[in-house]
Amino acid sequence: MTAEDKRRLLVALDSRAPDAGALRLLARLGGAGALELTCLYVEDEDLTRAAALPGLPEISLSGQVQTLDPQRIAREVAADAESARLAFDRLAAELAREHRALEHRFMVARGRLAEEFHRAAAASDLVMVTRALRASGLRPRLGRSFLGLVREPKPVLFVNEPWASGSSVVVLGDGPDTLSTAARLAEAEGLPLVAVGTAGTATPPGVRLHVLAGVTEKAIADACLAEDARLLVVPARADVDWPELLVSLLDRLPCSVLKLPA
Amino acid sequence: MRLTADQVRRQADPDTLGFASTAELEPGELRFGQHRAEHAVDFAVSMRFPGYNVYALGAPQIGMHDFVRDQLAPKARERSIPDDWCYLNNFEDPSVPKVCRLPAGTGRRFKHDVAEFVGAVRTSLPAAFSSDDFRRQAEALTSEAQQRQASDTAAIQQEAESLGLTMLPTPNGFAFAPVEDGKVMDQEAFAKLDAERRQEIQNAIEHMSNRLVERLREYPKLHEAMIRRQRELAHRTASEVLKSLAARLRSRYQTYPDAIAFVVAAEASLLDNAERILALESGAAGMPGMPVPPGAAQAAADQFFRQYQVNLVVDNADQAGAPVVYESNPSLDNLVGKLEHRFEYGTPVTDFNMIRAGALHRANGGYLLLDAERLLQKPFSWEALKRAVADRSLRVESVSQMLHLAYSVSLDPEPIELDVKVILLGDRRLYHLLREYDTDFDDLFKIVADFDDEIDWDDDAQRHYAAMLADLVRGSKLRHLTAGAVASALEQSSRLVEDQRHLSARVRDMEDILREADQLAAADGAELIDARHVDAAILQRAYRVDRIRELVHENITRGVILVQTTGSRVGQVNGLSVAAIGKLVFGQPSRITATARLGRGELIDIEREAKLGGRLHSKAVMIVANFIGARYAREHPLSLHASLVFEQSYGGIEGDSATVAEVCALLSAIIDAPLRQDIAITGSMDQHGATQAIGGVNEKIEGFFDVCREQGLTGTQGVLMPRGNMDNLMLRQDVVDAVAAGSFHVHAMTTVDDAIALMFAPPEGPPADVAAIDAAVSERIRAWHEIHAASLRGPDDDG
Repeated sequence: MTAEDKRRLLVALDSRAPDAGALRLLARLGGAGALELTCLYVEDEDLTRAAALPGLPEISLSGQVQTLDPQRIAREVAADAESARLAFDRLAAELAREHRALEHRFMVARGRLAEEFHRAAAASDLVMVTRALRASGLRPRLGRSFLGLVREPKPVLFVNEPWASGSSVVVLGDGPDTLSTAARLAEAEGLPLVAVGTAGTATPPGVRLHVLAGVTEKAIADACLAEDARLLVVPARADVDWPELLVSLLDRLPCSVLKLPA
Repeated sequence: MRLTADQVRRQADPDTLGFASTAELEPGELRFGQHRAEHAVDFAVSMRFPGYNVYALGAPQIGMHDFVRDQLAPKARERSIPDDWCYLNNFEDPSVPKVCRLPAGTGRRFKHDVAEFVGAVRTSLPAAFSSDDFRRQAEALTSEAQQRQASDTAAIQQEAESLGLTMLPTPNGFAFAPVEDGKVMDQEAFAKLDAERRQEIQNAIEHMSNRLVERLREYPKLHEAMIRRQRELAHRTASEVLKSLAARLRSRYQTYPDAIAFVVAAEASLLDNAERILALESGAAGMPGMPVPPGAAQAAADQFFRQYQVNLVVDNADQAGAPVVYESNPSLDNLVGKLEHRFEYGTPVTDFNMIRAGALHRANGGYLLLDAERLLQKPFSWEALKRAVADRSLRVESVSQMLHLAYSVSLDPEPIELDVKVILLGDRRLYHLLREYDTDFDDLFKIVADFDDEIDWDDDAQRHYAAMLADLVRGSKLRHLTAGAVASALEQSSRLVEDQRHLSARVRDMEDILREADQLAAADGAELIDARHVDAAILQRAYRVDRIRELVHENITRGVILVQTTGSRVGQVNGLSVAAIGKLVFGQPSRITATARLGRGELIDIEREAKLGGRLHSKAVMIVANFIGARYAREHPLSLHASLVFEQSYGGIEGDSATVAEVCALLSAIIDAPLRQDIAITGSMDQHGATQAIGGVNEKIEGFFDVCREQGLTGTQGVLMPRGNMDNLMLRQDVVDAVAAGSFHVHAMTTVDDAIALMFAPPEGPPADVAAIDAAVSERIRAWHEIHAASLRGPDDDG
């Protein structure tokens, strides 16, 4: 087997290890052939710089304030990375038992989160970005920082934890490849597939259409909420400013999003 | 009076029995001849007041147990089937399990229905919570909070950006940092800023931090409200599911308050535990972060749902009429039930599911038969039975509870209402001991069913007895009996009680003989047990224990023990005694000798003097002395010194059956007239000389017969016995045959005169003249008196 035969999968970690279900879905998207699974943990340079500034306050999720200490932050980031590595290795080993031709590795990079993700994604065929839900329910709006990833002409799975919430797979668009991929994922998750689109959008037999007044951020977000979506499958579109719409949705949607290339 | 062969044994005539073998007989009624006991049991059963329990007293061999069961069976069938009893969890206080009473058969259905309900809950509740509808509603609740947070985040981030800051996620939360060229400003750049700009940035950071802190401090309340609404949704969903599932139970058991109360409580408990049920059913019941061993999740779920089970302790679904229960091992646990335990982490634990019923539970609404002796041998059983019967309430108690060992008490189940007739089966000795020493006994066991050891031998009893033997052989899978064998059994039964007019009620004795006869019949290749098999079985039984008797008789034959069975002797007579050694009972002759001389009216009982005589024997000797004095010395003092002794007797002598023999020996000694040695005498006597019946007459006659036969039958030998014993004669067949052949005789006497007439007569001659003997005795005593009187007057008086 040559390196060209392998599909290269990137898991870009926000902080913690990916959800097992989401990782399994990524592997399924990778196909039945050989897979090279790379997990990337980024030690955020912005955070290191911020910690170096004098007396910068850190607000904990319970509202407590303490000074950002560069040494403490370094220790905690290293511990976080190690914890993520251990968890990833365990999940990948499990996956390897199901998918024999799977190699996996864990990488730690230092830099700016979006840039490092973008850099690693350039050398990958398929990307998954995890976006951990903070305990308080507050999730930083990082959508815009993923603009580069969104523009990449490759599939990117943005996973909003927890993965297993939601009871449907929603697909925007009526292209046969998109519908086929969405149907495959819905079947794998054991969930119904619902199409969202403007009136007249063609749907395959057995797939219900949730009619949108227009393809807007709000209409799509409302539809995902109404359908209790676990995953929104969206292909790149030419009729709207697609990257801008997608990063807005990423900030707004509680569910995960799979962006498919045009 | 010389008796005929017909008089010395009652013969049962096989031809009058009306069958050739017991195979022809229908299964008979086990109860016959015990009218008094039957009446007592009937009366107790009919009494509805408390305390009318029964003590059935009689020998164990009578078969009281079968008798009572047979008597109760038809009465039990006529009575209504008692209710079922269940123990249920008490959700308010699990240490006091609730009792639930349901009509017979309903308990089993209730148990099944509740199990089905709980099973449905286990599947329906998780299904309802994972339904699209529920998830959508729950998601809608969370989305509100999420939307609020998303918009807050957007607003804060926008404001921060407008102030030249970025909001950074940190390992513990967030931080605001100044931005330069799209990146967080580094330390060097920050230091280069003028003080005013740095202050502006710091002010902006402080402002944004305060904004964020404000928001974050609102979130717990927001989160709390969301959780509360989610819980309300979960509660509403679970409640609807449970209500729907319990509707069938509520409808089906609406007329049973105990059952409905349980259903309502179980429903409420399931609702309270809905979250836990979901966690258990999803297998997430372990400690967070800890690996769950295989099967542990299922085990945890099963353990949790035990509290909703129905413990059906008494199931009368298959019962016909009232129960008749016999508990052969009446230990405390077997009687009042028990609490079982299982071990969890080395500690014994229990719950209402581990309550087990006892015999009282099973007999509730019917009858309970217990062996009194076994009951009293089991620690605490008697006390527990009394308490249950007196309180009419049944409480499951352990030994530790009865001993008030509080540390081991784990459950105190509600008591069960008790309505049971207890029939204790025991012997007379135990009955009298209980009456004497237990003050509660008479109040709790007001009825005595007194079983006779004997039953009248009439045609009716004969028919029943044959039917009973037929049942016995069927029950024990033995060969059937010919009519001759039944006749032999009847005669043996009569012999066992030494009464021609009665049969023994101890059927167990006969059962053993039949088993042994069956063995002999098998060895014989016979299809039926015949009379010879029964007779042989009886003889072999006797032979097996006969060693001591043979030894005694051998010593007589060899002359070691002197017994003369021919000729005549002065002052010596053959008395008869019975020895009982274990199962062996046999008669043997004993030489009784007397001496007489001038004296002052003393009759010396040498046995008593040697402390070998019992009190009854001493009484008899005193009767003899008074009889002699009254009959022969009414008008002057009895100037006699006489002594009596049982020769070669080295053990104790007891009883008064030698009284007549002692009179004869004494008279013989007084007048120096010889007594017949070929006749042995047995019989007691009153002060006027009337003879009285004695015990063991058959063994005594047979004992003398055996000695005579060994020494040689002369044709004059025999035994003289009281006429009052005639009904007791059931002699061995060989003795009967000898009587029929005239080679051995049995004489009956009414008074001591009959004895004097026979014993002082020559063997082949006519009876002796009693008046002449009396005159001789009187004369000798008067002569002794005169000598004695003269000796008192002295020589001067004579001159």
